[in-house]
Amino acid sequence: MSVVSARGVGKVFGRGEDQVEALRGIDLTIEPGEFISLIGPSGCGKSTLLRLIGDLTTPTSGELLINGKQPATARTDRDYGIVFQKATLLDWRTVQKNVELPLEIMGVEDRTGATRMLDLVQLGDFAGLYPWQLSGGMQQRVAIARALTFNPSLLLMDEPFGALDEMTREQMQQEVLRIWTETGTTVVFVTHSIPEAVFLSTRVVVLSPRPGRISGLIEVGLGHPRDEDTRESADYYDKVTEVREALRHQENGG
Amino acid sequence: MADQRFVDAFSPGPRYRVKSWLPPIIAFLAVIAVWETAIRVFDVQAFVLPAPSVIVSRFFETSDVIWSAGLATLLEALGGLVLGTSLAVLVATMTVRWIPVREGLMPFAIAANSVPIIALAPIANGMFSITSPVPKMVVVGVVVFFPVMINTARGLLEVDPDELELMRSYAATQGEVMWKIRVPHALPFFFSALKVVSVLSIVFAIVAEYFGGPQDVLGQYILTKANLFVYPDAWAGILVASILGIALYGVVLVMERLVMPWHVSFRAADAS
Amino acid sequence: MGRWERLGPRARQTISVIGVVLALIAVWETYKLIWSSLGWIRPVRPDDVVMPHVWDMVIELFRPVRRGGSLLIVDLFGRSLWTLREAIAGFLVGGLIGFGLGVWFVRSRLAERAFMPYVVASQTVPILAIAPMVVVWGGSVGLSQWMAVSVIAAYLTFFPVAINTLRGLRSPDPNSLELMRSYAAAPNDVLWKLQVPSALPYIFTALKVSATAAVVGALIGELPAGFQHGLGRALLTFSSQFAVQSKKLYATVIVCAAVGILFVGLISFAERRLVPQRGAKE
Repeated sequence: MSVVSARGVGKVFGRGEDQVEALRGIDLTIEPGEFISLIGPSGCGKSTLLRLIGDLTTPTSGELLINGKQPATARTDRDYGIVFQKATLLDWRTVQKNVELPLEIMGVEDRTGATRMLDLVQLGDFAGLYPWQLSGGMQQRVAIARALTFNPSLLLMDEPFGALDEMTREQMQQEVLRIWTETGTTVVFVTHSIPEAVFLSTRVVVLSPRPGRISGLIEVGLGHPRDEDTRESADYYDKVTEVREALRHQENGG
Repeated sequence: MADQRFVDAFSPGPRYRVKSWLPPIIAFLAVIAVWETAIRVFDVQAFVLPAPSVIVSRFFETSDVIWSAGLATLLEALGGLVLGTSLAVLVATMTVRWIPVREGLMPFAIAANSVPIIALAPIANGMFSITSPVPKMVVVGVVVFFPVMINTARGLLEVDPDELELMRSYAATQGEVMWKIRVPHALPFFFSALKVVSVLSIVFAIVAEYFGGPQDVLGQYILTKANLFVYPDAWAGILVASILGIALYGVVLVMERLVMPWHVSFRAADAS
Repeated sequence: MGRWERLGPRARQTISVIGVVLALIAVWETYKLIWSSLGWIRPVRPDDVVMPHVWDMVIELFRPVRRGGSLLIVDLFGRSLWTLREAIAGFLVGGLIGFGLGVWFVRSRLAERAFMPYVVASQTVPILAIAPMVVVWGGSVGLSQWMAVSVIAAYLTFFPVAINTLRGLRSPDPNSLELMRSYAAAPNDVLWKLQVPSALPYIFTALKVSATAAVVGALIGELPAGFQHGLGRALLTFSSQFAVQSKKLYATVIVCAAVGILFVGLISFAERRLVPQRGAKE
């Protein structure tokens, strides 16, 4: 069964004269274990699509199923974890307590998952610290650990590394790939960086702006594991170029 | 929107809060020293402002009377604090659940903040038994209510939308959002208001006493002594008022520290 | 609902405030009705002395203060002007001192280090509680009584203004300061073209807090004063006649509230003229 299956999904904000059409006719199927990037210029509705999948907002047309269920049901079943651009850690909780938050809310007594995930993001030694004592990259790793602590089948990431510097960013990409390999979770990743999308994904979904439509689906097919050498390979450049062309094309097409 | 920094306007900010206790104390002592010397050396006529040494000696000589008056006033202030704060927190919580309460009450509260509430003191004396501490508690309660309510409601409402979405992604209940996000977020707002009103509660209890009532309270003591031109005694009474105000403030500081050890304002102190 | 939202924030706020006031009046009158019909006297006795009808308080404003005297509202209007004079004089002096201190401290670290502690320490003196002595002291140094009262208002005003001015002057981000530096701007240009404009929202916040405080300071300062003018004196006089004339006291309190709201309203009006973006937002 597909993790995400969208048929003609559209989203319109507001009504009357203030109405804005964010997404139109989205058809997309995401299979288990895929790493999908949503890329497009700002205002193309890539974040909106992610939030539709997470039932943080609801579609105004079309049909959207998550693991074969309505998004609201999937959310109540805790099918996905989410990471935002900001780490959104709660100031008043230690790193450990932040990662335990979803378990607390879901009534899970066993908190070993939190410790395991902190080890997975290599922050086991920092469990007792408060968020403000960590660097930006470390905070984002805590956010990832928190999203995975209850073993969701789907991980949603909304420009998670947008606020990080380039070097930290590359480290984090490596880290996410490692986590993805180790956990086998399906990932939907929103980004506006072409190299990031290509380096991370099995498939890249290119969106066009206003209203957002899928203008291209690019199979990356670079094989795994990917590392620093991947970034310098010819295949990688070709794919980056292909995505860039796809983005430029829609621009010219208007 | 307008009163975002309402309470901040009273408190000088973290820079002057935890780290630099010392300069104000030194400044205070310096003022006392200059004051004392000026009166002695230049033989200033100690009409309104007696020498600190005179005030301190009267403070100890009359300690029975002034402390029992002080305790009576403290009782009024505490009663008002408890009354006003609990009502404020209750109403602030209601603003989260019911949008009409928020839309209606917040502008009203902000407008009410510009009313000189102390004018209610004589009315409270008329409404409740003037011989009891109740009318003073009511006045202090109303004074306390608005800043605490406005600040707490703001803390509860102005939560990072990302945090709310995160909770939504966990399919958390309203109660969980309240306890795990809103309440911790509102605590610093609540305490910054509480710090201000703890000091105000003593001052306003005293001022409410100026409008009449029992005689064995600090306000009446100060007023009577001032009317009799016995200024050292009046100043000894004021010293008690200052001590009570600072003590209440200190209690709130300690409570704040115990309740939210994570907060930003303590970070600098922790790091050193 | 849709119509409500289309009203715009200012209209919505005004309607809300009126709504809450009407609701409070309704609570007052309902309490009076129920308690008096059931004969209850706790917590508050519902008779016409302790709890007069709201309309009777308003009607009282249009009755003579004493037989053959002027109308209460005329009398209270004169008193309001007296109290406002004390409050505004203190407010202006305190505000200027506060602003001056803020500018001085932002210019000179040394001045800030040396004097900020005194500014903070000054607030440990409960000025309202020593109002009786301030007024006597004012007399002894040759200030007229109303000026002595406005000293209290000034004392209450200067602190929030000083603190918020300093904070506001420091609020522009470092990049803007560097930009000014790249133009080789003189310190005065930096102050008036960058720092003061960015400080205005902070200063106005303090001014609004201070305006209320100045009115409170004036009211309290009048209590021990020897003159018979001012709203504070009226509160004291009418409260001693509460058992017979409670409506006069209630009417006076209403006028006090109006004076406070008017003063803060004036500051808000000035703020809207001087700080353009604020009102336009939302």
